[in-house]
Formats: sequence, structure tokens, C-alpha cells
Amino acid sequence: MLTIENVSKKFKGFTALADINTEFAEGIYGILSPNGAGKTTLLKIMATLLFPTTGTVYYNGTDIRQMGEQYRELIGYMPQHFGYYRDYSAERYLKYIAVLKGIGKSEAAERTDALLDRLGLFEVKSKKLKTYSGGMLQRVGIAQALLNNPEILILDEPTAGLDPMERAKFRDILVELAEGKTILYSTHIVSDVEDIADRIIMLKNHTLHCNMTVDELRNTFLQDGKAVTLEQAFIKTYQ
Amino acid sequence: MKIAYPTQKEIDDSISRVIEEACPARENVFIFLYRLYREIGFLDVMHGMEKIMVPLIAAYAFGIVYLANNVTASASDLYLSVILFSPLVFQLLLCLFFLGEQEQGVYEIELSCKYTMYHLLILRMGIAGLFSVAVNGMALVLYGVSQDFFGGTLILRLAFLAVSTFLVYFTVYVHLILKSVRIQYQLSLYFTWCVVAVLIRLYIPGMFAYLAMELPLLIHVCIWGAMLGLLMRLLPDVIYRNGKYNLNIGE
Ligand SMILES: Nc1ncnc2c1ncn2[C@@H]1O[C@H](COP(=O)(O)OP(=O)(O)OP(=O)(O)O)[C@@H](O)[C@H]1O
Ligand SMILES: [Mg+2]
Repeated sequence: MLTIENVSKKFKGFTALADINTEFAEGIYGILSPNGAGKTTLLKIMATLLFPTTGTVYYNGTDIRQMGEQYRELIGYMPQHFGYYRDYSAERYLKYIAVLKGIGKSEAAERTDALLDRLGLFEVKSKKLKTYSGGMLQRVGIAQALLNNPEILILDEPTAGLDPMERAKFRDILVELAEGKTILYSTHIVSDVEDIADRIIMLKNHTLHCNMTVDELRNTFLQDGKAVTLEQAFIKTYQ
Repeated sequence: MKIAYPTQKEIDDSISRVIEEACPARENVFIFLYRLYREIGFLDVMHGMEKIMVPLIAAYAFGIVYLANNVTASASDLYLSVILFSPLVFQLLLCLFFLGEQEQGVYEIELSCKYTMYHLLILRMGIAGLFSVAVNGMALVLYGVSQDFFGGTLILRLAFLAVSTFLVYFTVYVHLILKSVRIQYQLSLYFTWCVVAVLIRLYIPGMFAYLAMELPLLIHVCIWGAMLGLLMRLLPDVIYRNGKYNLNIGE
């Protein structure tokens, strides 16, 4: 269970996040907002890349910053724009990240192969990353986040640049994984989370607008007495 | 309300948790880093930087040999150049690491792993440091050979001074890193270091002569001990990002 308490983040006086209070239990959380509302900032705080200006994030009651390594062992993070060593092959890159994640050599080799296979990269695993297409790189980014079979998976627009088939495949992987995990999934593509998210988080004006189930959200806006689609709810929220 | 008496396992668990939290086993930071280095391996710590190191040594060695053969230096010039040069390779290598890290943007993922880029940074500082000491040692020997200095204690003194100045610089550098990791600041640090050394040499020659040229070797050894002690306390702060600005590279 992750608890966010009074979290705000300022960049040189500019408030990117203001006073967020909420909780993440098990399940898939779709995080929606227009551009620049603070999704990435929130996820970076959850991944301990940034520390909040005020407030604290707790994992089962313990400050994640205090937990340090112990907390990072539990997470997998996929940044919105992920950097990579251009001269590494996918296999070498994943093995390198596995070392940083503290995974033993034999387990790392096993996990790497399994993930490359699952994400359709096994055939090209020894090609250099600089020869990969955008969508292939995106899948390498997903693979590295899953290496340590994380209990908390933090995904910042993971499907940007994936074709519809890969997107569907990615959804399947997530649903399969989700059991017993907390997945934070930020996206602009509402349909990506509509069917799989347990709850939707919306950010508005740099603060938390709602944390509710998809159905609750759709029922907030009725059209001719019927619940609207998630997409319509999104548009109505930000109009 | 009735509360069930805890089972033996629950009792044992909570005792061990209390002990673990109250007195965490502290491994010596240098031993921890060595273990980590063995785990990650040289090539992955360096990330292609090893390719830059070869031309760097070559240029550096060539420069030293050239200077040795073409410039007649007084003893105090020699001491001054040791002070100026001993942190140079270290500082240059680290700037290159930061440039590479920024350019490739890999740090976002590296920061989210159990061992972060700050662990890598310290390993790199270690490697850059050893490398810097080795290159400077070699340069001194080359210089000594070309000048027929062997036999005197000059080379020994220069070597002691080189190690002391390097360790002092290293310690100051870690302090700086805890405030900010920006490359501009790192370069300013080296620049300031050089200016201060030159100014002391020019305007307070007595102090320069004492500090650089006459300081007893035993005091040098004490300086090494003190700096290593300080580093032992500072390096965990880098790892745990306890700096004033939280060492947040992305901000
Ligand atoms: N390092 C930074 N320095 C200054 N301002 C920043 C920094 N990072 C983010 N911001 C600002 O904080 C706000 C939130 O940014 P953030 O990247 O979290 O938005 P986002 O919801 O992820 O947007 P998008 O949907 O476009 O990815 C933006 O206005 C952005 O300009
Ligand atoms: Mg974003």
C-alpha cells in the first residue's frame, strides 16, 4: 500500500504538484491528465527520482525515502523518455540493468531471455540499440521495468509509439502481471486504460482531481441518464 | 477487547526487526564499494569511457615528456605543477562521465534501480582517482628519468605531495557534489584550485615553500588518513542522496 501525504513539488518557485493526498493499493491505476499537469512529476516522485518539496510518500507506513534500496528493489520504472547506451545490444542493456537491480547472474539471464521473448525482441536481441525502431526501444524500456518482477510498477506513457498489435499485447501482459501488484500507468490514450484500470487518477491544475473506479467516474457525468465513456468523462472534466 | 498472545514466530520477528532498525549493520563503505564494483564490472561502470581514457593518457604522457625536455623548471615550479596536475585527470574524467550521462539520459532508469547512478558515480570517482594517481605517478617517474633525479628524495616528496593534493581535492570535490552536480561548478572548482595555488606561490612564497616543499612526510601520511576518514563519512551521503539539493540531476 502506497500512501501519498501532502505531497507538493516546486521547481524554482513553479508549482508542478500541489498538496496531493491519496492512496494506491493493489491494482492498475490509470493516471490521466492533459499535458503538463504533473503526471511525470508524480511518477518520478513515486520512483524516488525526485524528492517532494513538502510531504511524504509511505510504503506500508514507512517513508520511501528512508527505505532507499529496500524500496527501489520493489519497483520497476519506465520513464516517459528513456535513455539507453546506443552501443549496447538489448541483451547487454537488460543484463546491465539487472545488475543494478541486484539480480543474480543466472536469474538475470533467464529473466532477460523470457522478457525479450515475451516482447517479441528475441530475434534481434544482439543487435545494437541504435539500430532499433522507436517501438522496439519502447519495448526494451518495458522489459527493463519488469526485470525484477516488481511489486510496484510505474509506467509513464508506456505505449507511446507502439502499434495497435503491440499495444494489445502490452495490455495482456499487464493484466497477467497485475495480480498482487500496484501498477501506476500514466497515459493520454484513454482507451489503453479503460478496460484494464481498476481506478482512475485525474490531475487537474497540478493537483489531484479524483481517484475513483472507472464506473464511478463514468457515472459522474450522465448523458440522457446513461453513463458516458471514459473518454467523454475525460473531456468533460477538462473542458 | 482481548488481544491474542503473539506466537513465538511473531515475537522473534519483531525482536529481529527492532534490532535491525535500531542497529543497522554498517559495512565499511570502501568494502561495500569494492563488492559492488566486482558485481557490476569494469566495462559497465565505465560505459565506453575506457575508449576516451587511452587517448587521454597518451596526450597527457606526451605533454609531460615534452615539458620535461623543453622547459627548465625550478624546484618550486615542479611542486606547483604537481599541485595543479594531480587532480586534473580525475576532474576531466568525471566531467566526461556527467556529460555522457546527461547526453544519453540513462540516469532516469539508473536512479530507479537498487544501485543507482550515485553508486556508479562513486565507483567512477574511485576509478578516475586510481587512474589519475597512476598516470601522475608515471609522469613523475618519466620526468625523473629524463632529468636524472633518481637518488634524491625529490621524487619521493613530489609523489607524497601528489597523493596528498589529490586526496584533498577528492574530498573537496565530494563536498561540492553534495551541493550540486553541475559540470560548470566542477570546472570552477578546478579553476579556483589552480588560481589559489598560483596566488599562494606568487604572493606567499614562504607558506608555499613550507606547505608544498617542506611538510614532513609523516604529516602527509596524517593528511591521507584524515581525508580517507572524511571520505568514509561523506560517500554514504552521496549514495543516499543526502545533499542539500538532494543531488537531483533531473531538476
Ligand atoms: N525539471 C523541471 N524544471 C522546471 N519545470 C518542470 C520540470 N519538470 C517539469 N516541469 C514543469 O512541471 C509541470 C508538470 O510537468 P510534467 O512533466 O509532470 O507533466 P505531464 O503531466 O507528465 O505532461 P505530459 O502529459 O506532457 O507528459 C509542467 O508545467 C512542466 O513544465
Ligand atoms: Mg509526462
